Amino acid sequence: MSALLSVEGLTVDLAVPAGTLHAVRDVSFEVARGETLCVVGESGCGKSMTALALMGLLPRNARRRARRLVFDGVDLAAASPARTNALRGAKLSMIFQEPMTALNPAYTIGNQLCEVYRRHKGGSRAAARERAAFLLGKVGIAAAGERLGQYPHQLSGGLRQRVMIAMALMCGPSLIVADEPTTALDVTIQAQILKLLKDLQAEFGMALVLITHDLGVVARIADRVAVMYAGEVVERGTAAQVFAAPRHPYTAGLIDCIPVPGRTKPGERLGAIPGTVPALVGTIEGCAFRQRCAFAQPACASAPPVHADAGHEWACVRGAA
Amino acid sequence: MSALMQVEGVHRAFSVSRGLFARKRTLHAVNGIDLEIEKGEVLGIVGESGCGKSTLARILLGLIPASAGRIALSGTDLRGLDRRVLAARVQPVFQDPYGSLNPRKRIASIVALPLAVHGMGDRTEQRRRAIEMLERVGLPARLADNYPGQLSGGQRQRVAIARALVMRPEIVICDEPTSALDVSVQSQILNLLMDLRQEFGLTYVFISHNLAVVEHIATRVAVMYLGRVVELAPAAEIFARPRHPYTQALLASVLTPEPGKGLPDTHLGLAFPDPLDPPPGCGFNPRCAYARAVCRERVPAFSEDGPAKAACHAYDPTFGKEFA
Amino acid sequence: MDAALPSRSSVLRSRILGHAGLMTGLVLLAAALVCAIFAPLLSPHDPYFQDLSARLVPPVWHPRGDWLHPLGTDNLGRDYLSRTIYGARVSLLIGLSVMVVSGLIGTAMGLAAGYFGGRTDMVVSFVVTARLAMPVVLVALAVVALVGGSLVVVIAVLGLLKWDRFAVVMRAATQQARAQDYVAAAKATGASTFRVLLGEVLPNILPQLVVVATLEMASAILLEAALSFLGLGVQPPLPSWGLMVSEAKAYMFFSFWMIAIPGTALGLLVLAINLVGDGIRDVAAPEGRA
Repeated sequence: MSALLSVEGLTVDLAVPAGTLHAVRDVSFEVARGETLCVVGESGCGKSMTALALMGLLPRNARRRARRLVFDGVDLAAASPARTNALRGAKLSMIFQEPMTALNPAYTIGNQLCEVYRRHKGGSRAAARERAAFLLGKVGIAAAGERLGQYPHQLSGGLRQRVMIAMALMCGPSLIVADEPTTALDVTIQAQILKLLKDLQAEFGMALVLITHDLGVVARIADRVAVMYAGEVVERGTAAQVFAAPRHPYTAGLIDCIPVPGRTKPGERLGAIPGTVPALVGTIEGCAFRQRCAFAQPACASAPPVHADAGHEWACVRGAA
Repeated sequence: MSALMQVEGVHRAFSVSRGLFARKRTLHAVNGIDLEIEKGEVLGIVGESGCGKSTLARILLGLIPASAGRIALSGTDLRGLDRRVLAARVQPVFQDPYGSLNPRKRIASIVALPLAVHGMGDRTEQRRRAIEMLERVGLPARLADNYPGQLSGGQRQRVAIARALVMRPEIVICDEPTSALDVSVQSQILNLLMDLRQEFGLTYVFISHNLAVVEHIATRVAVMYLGRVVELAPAAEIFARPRHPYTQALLASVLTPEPGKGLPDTHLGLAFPDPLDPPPGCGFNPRCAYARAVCRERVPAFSEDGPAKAACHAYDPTFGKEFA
Repeated sequence: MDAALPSRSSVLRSRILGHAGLMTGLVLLAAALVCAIFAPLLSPHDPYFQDLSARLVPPVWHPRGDWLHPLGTDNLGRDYLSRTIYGARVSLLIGLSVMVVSGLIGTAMGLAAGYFGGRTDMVVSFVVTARLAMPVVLVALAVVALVGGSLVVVIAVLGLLKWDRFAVVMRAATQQARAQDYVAAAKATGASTFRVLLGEVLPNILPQLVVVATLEMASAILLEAALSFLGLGVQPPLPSWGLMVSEAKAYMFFSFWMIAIPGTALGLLVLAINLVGDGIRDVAAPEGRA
């Protein structure tokens, strides 16, 4: 079966005062129907720009190019803005990090949920309200009828994010792109929201692209993982492959950095990646990680080869161990 | 045995205005906290947003006064203590390395500020000590004349640490020092904090919402919920056997990078309490799966259970049997 | 990060040079300042000297004009170019003095209200509201009627009345800065309130202060012109642009330049000051935190 979303050679360049910032560099991945792909990386690695590029929501100073960008049989790279608009919100929805800014404070929750539905599906106000109440119940909000008349500021952060999820589900999308959906939330709420997302995904058969910096979230929710560094995907594979046997030194370093109760010994030094992320302005040659890499060698100055092993791919001069 | 810092029955209330004509309401940000901070320990304080942990940090730093209760530093009440004496012994590291450094001052002068305030040495001496401390926290001396805007998040947090340590304090209050940082930078900062603790014999109060980080660095942990400490225990004990249902939920919510474990079920309800209108009895009862009638009526007191203390009726000898 | 960072001063220089509005404003303002400071050297004639045989001479571009009086003369035969050059002195002196006086009062009040909050804030806010209820022109009129008009009286009246915007803006800016952790960190070092205000808060609200100061300076210059036009500001024969317009109004249909020249000078000066204010606000934003 062909993939639901197929991205090949996605590049996003931003015009900044200092020149051209290569935010996303030749990124490729595929998402099958119903599966969860986590895009993970640190700030500035291009993961959010990748999400916005998929949605066609890039800022004005950005330019998107792709060899292939096909969603559900529609070529997004060639689609007109009107076509993209029609897809967005209907077949392709997005959940943002900060639900308070993503919801319009001037309208009730009911209005906002119904508007999305009626814009894409038409139908009566009553039908839209019924769907909204049904989905609020699905995302675990009790007394849904009453909540529909409330404004975003009357809800807690966790409830707002549930409303955002309900809004994303209104038109029965086949893919949800979630950009750091739980980063602004408390840890106990985060676990609840992720579980909700996972359950709903199974129930409605949606695919999920989850953008996050949190490897813990990735490990628990992802089917497949793409690790980004300096605008590139440096490693991808199933969650089990990437966490059990990380091949790219960056992925391995990142996993070593996290304290894990029961695994890392309290008080012991944690793994660390020296240095900082390189600037992405101007031309970048060779492996962008080589200045921070313990295994760097002269060959790293030219573009690293991509190794593959049973669907596990990594871009590094070092092959299989 | 006398503790380095003693916190007894500390309260802090804020009055919150909700519009021009609405009645002012009182937010009990910190609602009766007793703690002892022992020399050389790392006291972790864990809790979620709105639990009062940052307010507590500011009270310990003397930045805001407690509404009630007493805080003593080596037996001396903070109220009778000169602010500078307190400042020389207790220093902060804040969460946001972008907000905690004055964007209009050079790095060296930011780090030297405590020395300037306390009139320690002349300007060249202050600068020399600031640069020495910058190098100690892993920053090159050539950054001394840069502005904070030219540094990365991790470098800024190192500057904040250098400023906190330049006067050689005894206690450092770290309020979410790594929450705003990337993981790879977080581990660098945690390693640095652990090294510096050894080198300078520091005592840390380490405030975080991240239980995994606290587990790694703390020797003792206090779990806070709605302005109160609900559990207090040695770090190893809290992770091996959490007593309070809230601690259990918090621990279950830690997402470790272990694929295959799936997402935890925290058994928590959706009824997140309004801090302005906390539920009667135990503040956690609306979300607690084990709540009984008594939990909705009485505020639980601390009950000892082995090396741990938990403010939960389930561990109270009088009410404990109701939970069996 | 290890790459050499551009020095702050060079960044600032390129930002200033690249800002067209700021550069235009600076050039115009510099010209006005040069006129004001070197008025005796630049003026071809004594601005007070009356030559009744050469009254209402038109400017040089007029068929009846000549190079002796490049901008012509007024109804008393005084050289108009010289009076215009000297007029810059009055305008800038009043603008700067009023800005300093009202700036000191308003900034002190705004800092106190924003930093301490609570009761101080309530008192300051009340005083600001009370002040806003007083019409500047009417109060100035009453004062001038009582003590007579002069340069000092105009400066005093405007300076003591026009601090309201300083107070309001500085209060809001201080409230914002006070909430920052670097203020908390400075307090935690044991620094005195004075030190925190001057060393930590003030440098960060300076851009807003500069913007308000320029706006207030421009507005003071316009108010002085208005008061002088009404005969309530500086008194003749002092060459003030407002006064010149007032004196010219009787001749406006026959000798249009008499109104146009001081009016243009006034307009250009106010424009220059506002351009500089806006430019500084754009240029002074701290780096990072994009």
